[in-house]
Amino acid sequence: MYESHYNIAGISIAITANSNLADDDAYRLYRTDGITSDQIYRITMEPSTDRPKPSCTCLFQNELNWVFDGPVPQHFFRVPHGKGPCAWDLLDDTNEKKIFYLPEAEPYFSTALGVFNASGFERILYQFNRYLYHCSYVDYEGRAILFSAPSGGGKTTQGLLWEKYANATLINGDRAVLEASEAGILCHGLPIAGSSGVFINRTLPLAAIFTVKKAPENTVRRLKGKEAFLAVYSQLTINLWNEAFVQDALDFSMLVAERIPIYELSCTISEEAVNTVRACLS
Amino acid sequence: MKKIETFVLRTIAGESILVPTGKTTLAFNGMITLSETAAFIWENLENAESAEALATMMTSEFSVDKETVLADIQEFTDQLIQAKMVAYTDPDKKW
Repeated sequence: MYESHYNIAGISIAITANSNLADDDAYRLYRTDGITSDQIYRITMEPSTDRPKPSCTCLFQNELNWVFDGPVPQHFFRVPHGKGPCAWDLLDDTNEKKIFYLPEAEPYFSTALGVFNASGFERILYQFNRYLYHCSYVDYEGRAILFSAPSGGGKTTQGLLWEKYANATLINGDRAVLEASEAGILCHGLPIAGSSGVFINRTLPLAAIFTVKKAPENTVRRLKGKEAFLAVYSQLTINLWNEAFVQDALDFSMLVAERIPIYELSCTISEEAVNTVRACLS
Repeated sequence: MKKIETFVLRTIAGESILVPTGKTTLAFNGMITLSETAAFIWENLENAESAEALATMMTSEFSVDKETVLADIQEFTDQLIQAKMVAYTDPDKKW
């Protein structure tokens, strides 16, 4: 057996598998030589032909995942374009998990991407009070500026405009990990970046969040109260079927909305959009 | 009455909001904002044996007459029944 190590958002993730996991460009940036944090999550990958039957109550399903109710919920995973579930695990509240997979899926699970896809990454983060936030993440003068929007809403475009006009660095074009620390709200990079292809490993204090809305003119409006809360909560990746997760995500969203200035940015694709935000930040 | 769907009731910036969780998330998307009295009804409907009993609880909480409160309870619980969020526990389907 081989053990592969990653440090993502300050969490040391150790994966035991039949092979030394292959990394793509994203995961290579997060690979470490061993345990690098006292916050440790362990994943063991084990081939098996004994796929369990799901319980009758489905709590959640999407294209690749199913979650079924039980004393400990069961999770099933299908590889992209696969015919049916090829991996399964139990969703308990410990800092380790064993993922079983059908032997024919070995090539997929010999990659870091495959293991993390099947692992429910938001759940690993949640074990350490961190949350996956749908946004583009920009480093501007050593502070994190986030642009959130639904897919196709222009968040990566705004990030790229900041690189072009504000000497900023796009850290991730699709996601960031948020953590409430004693020093304030921290923003971590991660190897998951949607189609943006930008996944720098960098942690910065969070300065502001802008919810992006396409408009003919550039304006900024400060969000308060429920609007600010919704700007955070609606873009977190939450296991809605898990009540404790929902409760904690609600608390976390309220905390971020209280501590961090959150704005609605109505904008064009232009330098003026960048300058509007810079004026707001200063 | 009993709740047949799972929601978390939270106060966000002074507003009461119901957030679905558990298997309820398969049927309900988003959140439901409740008035102060609706939030009280939601929180207490399983503790009351009848609409009358809940109305008594409400009149001691809010400075509103019982008749108004009973009308509020009727209207809101009708909506909850229609949305299949709660079910009658009385055989005669009054509460």
